[in-house]
Amino acid sequence: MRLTLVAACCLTACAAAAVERDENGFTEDDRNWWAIQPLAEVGPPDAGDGWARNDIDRFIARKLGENHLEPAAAADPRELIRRIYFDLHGLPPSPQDVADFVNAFEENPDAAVAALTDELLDSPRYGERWGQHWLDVVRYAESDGYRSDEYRPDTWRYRDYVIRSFNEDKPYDQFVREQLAADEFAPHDPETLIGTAFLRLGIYEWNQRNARMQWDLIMTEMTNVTGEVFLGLGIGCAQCHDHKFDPILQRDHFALQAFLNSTWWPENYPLATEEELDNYHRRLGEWEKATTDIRDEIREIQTAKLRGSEKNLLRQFPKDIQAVFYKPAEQRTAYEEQLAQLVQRQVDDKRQKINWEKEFAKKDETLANYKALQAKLAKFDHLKPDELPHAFISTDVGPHAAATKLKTRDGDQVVEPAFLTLLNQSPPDISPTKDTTGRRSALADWIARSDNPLSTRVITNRIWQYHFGSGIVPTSNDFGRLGEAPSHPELLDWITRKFIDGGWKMKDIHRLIITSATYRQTARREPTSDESITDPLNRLLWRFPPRRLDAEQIRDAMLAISGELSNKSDGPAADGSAGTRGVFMKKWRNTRDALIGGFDAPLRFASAPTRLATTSPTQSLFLVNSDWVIQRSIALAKQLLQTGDKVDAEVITKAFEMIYGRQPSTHEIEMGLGFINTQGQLLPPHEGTPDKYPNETGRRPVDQHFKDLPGLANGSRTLWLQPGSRFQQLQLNGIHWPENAFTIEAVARLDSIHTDAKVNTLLSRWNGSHSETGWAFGITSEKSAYQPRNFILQLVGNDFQDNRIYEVVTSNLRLPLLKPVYLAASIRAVPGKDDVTKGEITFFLKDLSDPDTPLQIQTVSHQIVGGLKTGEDVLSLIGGRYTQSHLWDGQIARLVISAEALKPNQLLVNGGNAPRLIDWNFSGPEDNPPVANTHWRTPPSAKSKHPSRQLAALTDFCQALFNSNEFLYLH
Amino acid sequence: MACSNIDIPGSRREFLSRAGSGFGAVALSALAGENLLASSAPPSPVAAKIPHHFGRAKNVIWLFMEGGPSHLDLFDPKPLLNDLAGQSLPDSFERPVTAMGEVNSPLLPSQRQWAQHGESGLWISDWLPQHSQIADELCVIRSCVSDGINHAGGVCQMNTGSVFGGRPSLGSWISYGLGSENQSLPGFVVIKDSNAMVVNGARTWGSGFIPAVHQGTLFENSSEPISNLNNPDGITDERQAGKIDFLNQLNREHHASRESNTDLEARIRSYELAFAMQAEAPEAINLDSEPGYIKSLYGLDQEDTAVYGRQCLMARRLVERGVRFIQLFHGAGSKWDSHSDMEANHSRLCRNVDVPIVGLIQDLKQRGLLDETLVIWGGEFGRTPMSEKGDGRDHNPTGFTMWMAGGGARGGQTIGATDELGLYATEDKLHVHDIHSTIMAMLGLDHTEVVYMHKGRPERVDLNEGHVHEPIFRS
Repeated sequence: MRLTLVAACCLTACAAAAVERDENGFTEDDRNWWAIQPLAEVGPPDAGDGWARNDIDRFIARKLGENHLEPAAAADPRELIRRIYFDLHGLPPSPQDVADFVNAFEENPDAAVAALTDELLDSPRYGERWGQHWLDVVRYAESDGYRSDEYRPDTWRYRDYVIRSFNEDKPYDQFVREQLAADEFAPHDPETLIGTAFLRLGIYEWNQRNARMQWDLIMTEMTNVTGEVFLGLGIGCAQCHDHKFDPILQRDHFALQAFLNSTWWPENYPLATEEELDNYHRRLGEWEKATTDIRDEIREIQTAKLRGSEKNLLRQFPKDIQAVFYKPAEQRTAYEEQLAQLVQRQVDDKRQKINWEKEFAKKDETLANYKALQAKLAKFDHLKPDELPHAFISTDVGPHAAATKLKTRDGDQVVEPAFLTLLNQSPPDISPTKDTTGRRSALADWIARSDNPLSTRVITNRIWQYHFGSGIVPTSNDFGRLGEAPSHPELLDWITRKFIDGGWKMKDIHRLIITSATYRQTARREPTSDESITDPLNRLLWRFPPRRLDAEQIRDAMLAISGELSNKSDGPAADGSAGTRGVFMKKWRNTRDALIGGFDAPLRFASAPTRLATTSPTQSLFLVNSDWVIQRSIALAKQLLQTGDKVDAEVITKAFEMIYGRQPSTHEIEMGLGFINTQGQLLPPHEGTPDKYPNETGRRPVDQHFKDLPGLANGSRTLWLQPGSRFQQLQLNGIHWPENAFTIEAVARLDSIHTDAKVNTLLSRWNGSHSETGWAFGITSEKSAYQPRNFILQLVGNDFQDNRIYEVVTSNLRLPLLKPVYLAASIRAVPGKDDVTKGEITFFLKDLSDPDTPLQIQTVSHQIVGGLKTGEDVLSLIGGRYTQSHLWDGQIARLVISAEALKPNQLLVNGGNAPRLIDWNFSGPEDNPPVANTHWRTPPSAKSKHPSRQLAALTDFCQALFNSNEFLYLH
Repeated sequence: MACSNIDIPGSRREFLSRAGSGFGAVALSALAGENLLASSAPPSPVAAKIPHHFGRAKNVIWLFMEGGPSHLDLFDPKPLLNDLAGQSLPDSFERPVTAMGEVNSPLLPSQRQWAQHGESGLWISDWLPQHSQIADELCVIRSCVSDGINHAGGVCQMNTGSVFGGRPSLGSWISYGLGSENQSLPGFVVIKDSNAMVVNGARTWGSGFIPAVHQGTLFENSSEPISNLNNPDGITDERQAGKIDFLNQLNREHHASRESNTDLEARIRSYELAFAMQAEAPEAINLDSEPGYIKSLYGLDQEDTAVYGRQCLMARRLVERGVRFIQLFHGAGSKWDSHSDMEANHSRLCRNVDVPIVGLIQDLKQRGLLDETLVIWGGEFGRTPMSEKGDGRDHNPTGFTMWMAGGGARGGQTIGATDELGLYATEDKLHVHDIHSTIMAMLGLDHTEVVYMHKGRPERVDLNEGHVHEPIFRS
């Protein structure tokens, strides 16, 4: 097993030449490996006179000169400001920003660039952009990554910590120490402690029974990612054997792991200062004291079940893990404690899922007693302190280290923490704290040492890479021999030295780079034939490297330009449909946003040091056809037309300025106006109805109205149907509909009923005709002949003589408005057992707002005994009928269809089980269709408004610009 | 007809559709009425590539029974299992770690009737009665081994080689290694049998760290098989065309002074491809034009078999159009998982797939496509001889069955064996890495040569561990 995980590196071994090796097997070559040499003491070379603006340029000029290449001319201010904005903020400059910069630049280019750089570095937008880079590198995601892909609700605090650290220009050595060991030196400083989330951002399978394997994987991953992120070492190779290409011993891998091996991931760790924590515990103590007796009594009646549930669960673990779990805590080793805690989480989860009322349902006395005790307990709620915020942090399992074992043919060897053998450094100085081993602090201190040859170069190389698209060492996570050699080794050392001497501050390095002539070259110069031959990849930087915008830049720029970018700058993550920056979107591992995933954002399963920039037809389909891009185009068009209803040269100019950051040529204005004119003629006059809820997604959090209904409203979101908006009807595709006998169950809420006789239809397959087969499931309205709020089914099918008939089957069960309800119909349109001329529908209705309300049941017979077979061309719609009327105003939290007429005990509300044709809870990502194979049906345009052809044509114009290469590329 | 990758096309249409990107591009620009770029376009990353050696297979259809079908009740009869029914696993067997932990539960006998079929005498149980007709096409591999003990790990490894997410799927590797013969359809298509999601979601067919252009594309069974394929609601073809013409004009003018940047050209071309896809994809999976007898061959006229029958028939149409790799999930969301009441579960699911699979093999054969189409059947693992919850079986990754047909697979033979109870593979063990390597070999690819450099390291489909098992396709 273990081999398969990491063997990716173990390709064909080099032919071993006869070279001299020391006692560790290292050769002269190994000892001369460039990345472990101390930083060279170099000054800028004497080159680049007349071109160089700072010392970076002298290094670049020398290499260019040696290769007989010339740097490109300086970029003009428009090219430059766009580059700097996307670089430092990940956003485009506004037309005003451009105009101001152009003016300043004309006066004094150097001062203008310096001032702009300072201004952008001072803005919080800087941390949002550069924090994203770091989040890529540390495999930041917000879900577990295995099958259930559980969401991690507290992880965003680490994202905010990263953004904050960049904005504060936190010295990098401190940033390193905090992420590896803040719990050891700042356990009560919440803002710092959160950095240790780094150690637990990897994938995790909480319900894995093989606890040993799981912990082994976690430790291996933690070791590998630490090696890659901070040291630029692909140390994973050395897990199974000495590294085949780099001078890293298998022992080195385990020695690095030994620093980390005692780590533990506490659950629901309170994030608070010492004072807040004391206060919390004091108040909790008071509550506990006041409620001791009640809680003891409750525990008493729960004990048997709790024990049983634990026993049943433990049986599913391997024998040795069971033994570890049942061992008294004080007898466990640190490693055994880690394993036991992994099991404990599963036990706790199982316990929390026990529904006690259900458990005691058959024991009236116990149930009554339990409820009474709960009520009693609730009276003390006012004493209970508010829950402290939880953090996703790491610490050690205790002050005693978990042993790190290297399995060898001669048995297990315990490996102590140590640095790379090749570096030949003295062993780490480790001092345990009260609660921790002190090992990670020792590692952090070593990584953050100014004479560490690897970590220091790795970070400055990353900074260079994000500015220029490629690092001085292009393989920024691997400085080994499988990586590429530095193009400018002396420059890398010089910048690194400067970085350290300046107090490890990144902003200084940004300033240095951006103000250099190297950075200020134009990208708009075609290569000469010399350049194409000598340096086709432009590693020597004979021009600024052209780049495609990355996924977040594309998203954020479209939102910024359309005026829809929200100012969210921290807090829990948002769905993709919200107008937040990409960095604040939820980052699930198994479900990716169409835009973010489609434009090469990393998978977040492993450290991602670079991003690809692929080109594919699916990207083009997204940009041309997706609702998301169209909505941005509409918003921009409206903004441009605010002042009038006529697209003129001024509007075209404004669009160019906003999207491209430049003014159009006369030819381009002509071209744009020509397009508006011809395109406008293709449009019907009534297109482009403004949308009622432009920022909505047709979904609501489930706890808004469906709180605490786990078996029924089991998702995180509901479907939100709003008549008169684009969320009035959801069309379902590709469902193989059952005929004649089926069951519809829904957990829903109806906010209002129609004032006339229309039916509030929740689900239908019916074109509304009385002569064509169909059905509709709904609630009657104010003027209905069957009384308002009557739960009914409308059927068109065949009677026993095979005549097509229409029938309204009424339950006379009344649906309460504005309350969560469960409603179901078990439909039989087949000849009855007793009376073959009659079919039957059993209706079920329950008010879920009060657990004590009984389930109402009503069985009604009807005339339809066959032919309830809907044609393939009939639309299946949630919310209303085919005619876009009879709409449902409210929410649906769950929809279940079964391909048979279910018995009461098979229903959802009774905890029953049956094969379900569909079972939806609408919890998918908000920017996708609520469920696969569905889409919002476009509402008819409101005839009363006549938005102009000009607006629609301008929308198309804006969308074309958003699709264009000039927008998508910095070239 | 075709016995290698070098064959003579039978018609002009076939020639154009098979000739790869060069002619595909000619056809496309002819469709568009003009050639957008006079200069030579950069080679598309998915353009057809020449394989390393002669493989008979050109395309793959992978019938994925998600959840883990029971080899003990389908292809690997174990008389001893029925003899020892009700007893615990004999002490001579090493105790495996099972997902649900019922290692010592009584052995569950197989209730199946077994018979040998075809000239080859292949064993197939009565759960797949129609399979007797294709017995001589099947190369049954009884000794498959995986590391994934649960569905997440099992599905992930069977598709990507690793039990952990993040690596490219087999279809992506093959798209990367061989390219696609049809530029206006994705080279790797996934179709599933219900709205339920396959375990681990879309990353099951993801491209991991290799370019996203090689990832599987999920075809929905609807009028919009690929997301964002259709014009947005209310936007007419004319309006769409007007917009694209204008976009092309902007891009051409932008490109004029930046000709060295091939990415810009590639993106201009990606719009051509997108619109070719818009035309071709719905047609490729529209079964209306299929004659009635073909529809019944696949079981489209029966409720039990219609769903998978449609998938199989779509797969044949996609193969005809040069789609390289097609994966048909049955039981999406682990429906084959039968921890309890396996009789009911497997009876129903086997009925769903029996006719469609046989129809697919027969149809491919009668069209001369079977030789060049490798059909693979299997789940992420098999099931244990031990019972679970009385009448079910737990996951068994240590020994299970898959089969291959067509594409050069030698039919009518059984490869490898499990022990007497079907718990562990004992002869010719084939780990998932070996299976992946063998599939690549059958496509003419050397799995040690299809390498992608990632973070400075050369990565392969088999994590450098796979071996080609030649008896599957060599006599």
